[in-house]
Order: sequence, then structure tokens, then C-alpha cells
Amino acid sequence: MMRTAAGLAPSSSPPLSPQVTVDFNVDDGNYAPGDNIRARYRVVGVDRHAVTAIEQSVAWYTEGKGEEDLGVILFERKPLERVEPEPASAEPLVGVISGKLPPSPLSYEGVIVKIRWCVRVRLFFVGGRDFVSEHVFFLGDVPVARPPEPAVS
Amino acid sequence: MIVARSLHNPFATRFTRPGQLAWRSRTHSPAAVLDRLEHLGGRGIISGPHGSGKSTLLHHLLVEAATRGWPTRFLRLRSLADWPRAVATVLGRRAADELLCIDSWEVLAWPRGLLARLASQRPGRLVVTTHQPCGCGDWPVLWETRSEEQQFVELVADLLRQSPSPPVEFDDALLRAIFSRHGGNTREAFFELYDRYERWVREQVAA
Repeated sequence: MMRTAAGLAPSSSPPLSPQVTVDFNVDDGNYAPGDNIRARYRVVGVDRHAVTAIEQSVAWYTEGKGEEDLGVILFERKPLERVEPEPASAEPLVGVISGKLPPSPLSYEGVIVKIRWCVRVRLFFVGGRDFVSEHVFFLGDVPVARPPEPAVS
Repeated sequence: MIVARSLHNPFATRFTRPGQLAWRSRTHSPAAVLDRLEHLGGRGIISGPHGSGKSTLLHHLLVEAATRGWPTRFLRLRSLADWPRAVATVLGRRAADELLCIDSWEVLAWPRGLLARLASQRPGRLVVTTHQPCGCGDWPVLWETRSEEQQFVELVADLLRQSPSPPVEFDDALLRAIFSRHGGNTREAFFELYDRYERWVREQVAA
């Protein structure tokens, strides 16, 4: 069964409102260290001729109360060819990113810090604006951390 | 059902760090502050207490400067050990229209007065942030930041609205109490909300 994840888009607003869906090649996006990931993405809601390039990556990052850390494992930038003049096209943009996942860091849902793995799709538009969509998956099976119980006196 | 391991905490630093939050001040815009910088001769200090929005203003100034076509550079100082990097950046300036922004000028401690004098002899615009406007040569105060309770409440609403995770509601009275408890330090207030969100998520999962 494929898993489709809704994206997170913390970047600047694009001219249209792209919607990116990602299908992972394993159930629920759960991978073991060393697995091969294959993620197919589909972008709708955007005029494909307004997109100059797509960056696709597999990365991990920390999220929490401190400074962020980041590692990019797979990365590819795909410039899109443009032929002038072109009519607007709502045809979806599709792509695939695949590769072998490393042994670490494992996904971790801590209280103060979390380690997240994601497939990231970044669209660059004519005029320089961009749009980022992140789709979380999991590497390993570390249990969710629980905050310590208050001491009982 | 809520699954804790796939939730984003809306108060994590990746969402609250300078540059991520929308500009919320009713009293001034980054454009107006840049205009004032020009009026003051191109050098200025942004001063204010911890968590009052100095770095945030600096980031919005950089964005505004870029829209004006000014070359921009940003340097964040973390400790006195960054002194060589600060010297290289300040003395390496050549372009008269460049805006150089340096965050946390105060960490340079005693060498900052000397560096300020050297920086004044270089071309280009310069804005630094510091808690106290001392050790900055004769640079004027460009802006004094002050966090406001209502602004904090609106920023929290922004963060919750933008978050893809299930919303948690904080009533205004609680937010105002948190803001007050941290003495108007927005960063620390966000940290408390981060902890509250983590507890809330785990309670939901347990339920």
C-alpha cells in the first residue's frame, strides 16, 4: 500500500497554490536503516510553465527549542525547459527520487528535540519566488519519548 | 487519532526564528526603518532587551533592502571567538550601497569599540543589534525594540493558523499571563508554549 502525505509549506507564497503529494514505496513511510527509498511526487495547482526548476531531496533535520541541524542525503535539481510562447498548463508535474537510506540518524520524537526525515520538493518560479513542500517519513523505530513524571515527595 | 511522532510543534524554533514570522508591528514598517537609516547617514543600532524582536527586525530589513536592490550581507556573532570573522567582514566592505547587518554586536565585548571606529571608515550601510547602545562608536540608535503583549497574542495566532498539526487553543488571558511571566521576552514565552504543546500532544495520545 502506498502512503500519501500532505505537505508542509513554510516558505514564501507562490503565484498559485501548489499542492504536492508524495507516495512512498513502503507502508506508512516506515523505513529501516539501509532501506531503499523511492518516493513519487505529484504537483498540482500550478501552471507548469511558471516553474523554472524543481529541487528534490531527501533530508533529515532537527526540530525543537534549540538551533536546527540538517543533513541532505539525496539531492537533485531539475531545470525545466521552456519554449516560448507557451500556453498556461495545469498538467501535473511529477517526479521520482530514490536512493539508499543511511544507518543514522534515526527518526526521534523527543520532547526538547525531534529528528525528522523528509522528502522535500522545492519549486522555483519565474520571477525568483519559491515554494517548499516537506513530506515526513520515518527511519527506524525509536519509541516516542515521554516527559519525565514529576517527582513525588 | 493523534499520532505524536508526525506532529510539528508550531513553537519550534524552525517556525519562530527571525525571518519566519510575519512583521506585526503597527507602529513602524521595515521600509520606514530603512528610510530612517538613510536619514541617519547609513549607520545605526537596533537596541532592546532579550526577545524583543531585534533579530527579527534585522531580517526584515534585509528583505526590504533586497527589494530595493541593495546588496546585503548578514553576520551573526555568537561569541568573542567570532572577532576575526567580524573584522574580516567589516573591513572587507567595498560597495557604498551595501547593507551589512550584524546581529549580537555586544558579544564582541571590549574589541567592539575599536571595530566600530574601523567600520565607520569603510563604505556602505551598517546596522547592528545590541542590548545596550554602547561600544558602537558614534552610531545613532536606529530603533529601540519593545515587545508588546497584543503583538505576542497575534504572533501565536499566526503560528497556530500556519501549523499543519492539530490546533491547540490558548486563550488570550493565558497568553498574556505567559508573556508577563517572561517579562516580555517573546522567545522565552514561545519556549513555554512549546513545552505546553508537547504536553498537550502526549495527553491527547494517552487519551
